[in-house]
Amino acid sequence: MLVVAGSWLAGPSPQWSHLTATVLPVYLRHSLLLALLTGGGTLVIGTAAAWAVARLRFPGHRLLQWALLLPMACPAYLIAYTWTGLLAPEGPLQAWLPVALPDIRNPWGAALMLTLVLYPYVYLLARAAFVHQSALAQEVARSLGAGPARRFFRVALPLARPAIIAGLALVLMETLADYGTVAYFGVPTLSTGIFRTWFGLGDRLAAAQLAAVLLAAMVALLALERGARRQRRVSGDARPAAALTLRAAPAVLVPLALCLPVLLGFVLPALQLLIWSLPRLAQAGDADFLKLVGTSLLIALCTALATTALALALVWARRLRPDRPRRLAASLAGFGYAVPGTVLAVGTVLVLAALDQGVNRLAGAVGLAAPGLLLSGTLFAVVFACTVRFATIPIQSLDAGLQALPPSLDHAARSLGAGPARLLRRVHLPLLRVPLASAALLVFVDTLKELPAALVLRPFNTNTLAVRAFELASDERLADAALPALAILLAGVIPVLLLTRSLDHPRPTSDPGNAPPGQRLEETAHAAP
Amino acid sequence: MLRLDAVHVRLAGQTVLDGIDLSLPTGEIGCLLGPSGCGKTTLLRLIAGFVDAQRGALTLAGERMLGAGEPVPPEQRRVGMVFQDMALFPHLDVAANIAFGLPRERRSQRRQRVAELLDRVGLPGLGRRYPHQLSGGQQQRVALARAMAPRPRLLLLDEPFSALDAELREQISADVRAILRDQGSTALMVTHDQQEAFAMADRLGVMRQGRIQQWDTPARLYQRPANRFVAEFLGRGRFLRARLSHPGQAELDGASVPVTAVHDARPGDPVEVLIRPEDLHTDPHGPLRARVVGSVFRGARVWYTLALNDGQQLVCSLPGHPRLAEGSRVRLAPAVTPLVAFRTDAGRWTLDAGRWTPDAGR
Repeated sequence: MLVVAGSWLAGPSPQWSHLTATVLPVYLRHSLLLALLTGGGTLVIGTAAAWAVARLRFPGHRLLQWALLLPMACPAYLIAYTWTGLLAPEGPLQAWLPVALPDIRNPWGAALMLTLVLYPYVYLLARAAFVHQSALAQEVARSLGAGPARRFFRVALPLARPAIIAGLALVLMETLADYGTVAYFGVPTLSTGIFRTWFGLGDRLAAAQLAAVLLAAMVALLALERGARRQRRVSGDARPAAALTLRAAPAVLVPLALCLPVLLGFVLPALQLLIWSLPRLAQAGDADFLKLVGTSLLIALCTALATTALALALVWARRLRPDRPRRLAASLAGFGYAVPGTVLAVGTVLVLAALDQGVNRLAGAVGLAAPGLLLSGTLFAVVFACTVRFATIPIQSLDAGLQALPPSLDHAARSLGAGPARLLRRVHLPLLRVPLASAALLVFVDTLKELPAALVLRPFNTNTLAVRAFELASDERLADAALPALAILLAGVIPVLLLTRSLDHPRPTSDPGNAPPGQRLEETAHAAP
Repeated sequence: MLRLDAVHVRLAGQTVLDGIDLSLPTGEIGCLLGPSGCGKTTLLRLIAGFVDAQRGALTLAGERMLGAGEPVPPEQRRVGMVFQDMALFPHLDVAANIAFGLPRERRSQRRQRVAELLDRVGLPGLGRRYPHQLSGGQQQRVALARAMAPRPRLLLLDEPFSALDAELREQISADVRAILRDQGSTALMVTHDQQEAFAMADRLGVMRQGRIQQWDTPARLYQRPANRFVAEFLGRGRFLRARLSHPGQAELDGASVPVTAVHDARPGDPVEVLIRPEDLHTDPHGPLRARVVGSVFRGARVWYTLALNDGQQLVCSLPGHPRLAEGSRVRLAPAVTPLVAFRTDAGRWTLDAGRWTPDAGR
């Protein structure tokens, strides 16, 4: 991040004025349009679905409650190319429909794809807010003569606003960071612009400077999200509002409407991927494919371990002695998530290449053979970038887990003669097993899905599932891309299933000492793409 | 055993402990009493080693814990602590909780010590239970057993009974006192419950704004409070305006009553006399005359609000029979002599190590 921001210190790149004159306005306009459309779309779908699930009871309520989260499992670039295939003139839908299907490979289509997979962020946070709103506010409004519409717009919605804004900020961060969808649809945004400037024009400085522009937007969104989360402390201990049971026509229409985003965002694309990959299932045993899976798993595993270890070190050090530098370190590390994969890739290459050069020069100086690209050209670079990007997940998870443990537990252990090492081994680690494991799993899956960082940083002749799927799709070999895509999708369902478990027990038991410390996924979850 | 000298603690820019002197002999139970925010819990945490002092010294069994180089870390102090929320390890069963402080002992020894302690706190055979399977009182006993297991030199108890309901409290505190006595433990307890403090303590301190106002036996603290704050904090007294007539005598509403020696006051100076509900009784020849203005029935006793001739009101606890009607007149005599008296502005003075010193700026 620092490196990227610091690129401005070098002064505007020679290409910069050229950039501002030509493509920058185009990038900005498209990024803004995407953000507006996706933000509006997720806001409406997410909030409406959240309210319906929280306040209404209808057939299929339990199923829809978690099914609405399923699109989260889908990286946007996957459903983008799946829908392209579905809607293609020779595709399965056109055969059934008399009217010509629209081409979705434009900014509007990209916004639609992003909306379909990102609305669960708004849904997840807004649902929790609606569920925890006390009945009292509703009853007061009723006693003052407010009808249902007025109660929703004047009471329920404002009370849930901080949660909705937090969800929206996450959506916008994802939208601006998205690379795969817009690249596939040929929509020129800031994030694809960084790529083109780097690889097309070969101007690293200008690319880094573009990245800095994107980064500034991210920091603003992050501040918005954190600010909104601070406001979320509304008294939630009161009795929750009673749900309304639907009858007759609404009992059919509401669940049908709620099925729509799930169908479009998950079920149909997943089915299509399955159909495409069935004839190719034999390839699953290929050495090529196995190597692909192996590389992906290796990267994901290393990242999961590295982030978890990093989080443990940072969060735990702060617990032990909460002084200023340690608090700062932990919250700084949490910023990585706001950094789009493309920006991160640029920064990582710059840092690691400089390190490599240093090492090589040092080796040359002492008369050894230059070791070549030790860091920047290896899997290490991918793991490093993903670690920076996803470190916030275990940090937040551990933080929440540790905060649920009263400090008197630490004091009790220490007054019984336990030093820091024993405190960690005998008290904290056993009590944090669940949040540690679930955070590691989330990182694992996110790393499997991560596209831009892997695309830039992977060594030559090495591929990951995400990169392979994207490359094949970009070459219009949609059906060939299905197998790796399906593998990613299946992996993505795992954290969603985990999340739904925490939906069923939305709150930890009131006694923090006895609560299973793993029930904090709802907190962690918003960090999981 | 425990000794603190001039300990000062600042936390987040606020003076929390302001010159604490305290000593507790081996085998005694000390109690710190005070309103919330007075620094009593911080003092306990300081002794345990979770808080650092800016100045001052702390000695435990002759060893310097604080005041000479780096403070000794909590795990090396051999000070046991029972926490307000009990802080049992939720992932360990009762036996493992109690054995937590005995990592170096041999397995058989450890098992024996756990069984012995479970027996002593009245929970034999519950070693395999988990904390959430125990009642509040049982958790309290396990917390005590766990703190005592490594045979600490000093046991600290931070409002140990506040999580229990009133009935259980009385019983458990009596049990705990018996256990501490039985083990010959030296203990320091923090509470805001006077009755609990009186019942437990050999030595009692009242704290206010980071200072110990008085450190004495419970009886002396009650009968000879060192300043107005202590007097007001213990019991439900009222202060009445009076005038010192001779040393040891004050004129209250035209009557002469025996009072304690008043520091720095000469005959003729205004003083305030503390009257607690049980300090007066009816006496046909008593020097004080009062009129009944209100009463609250309390079973065996009735608490009357009485007005003296000069209009000052006091509360007096008298037998339920005969019930005095509102407006009737009574004559009263001191049941406790001498009555406690302070100079009118004495709130600003503190008895410090036996000497009266101005309570600077408070």
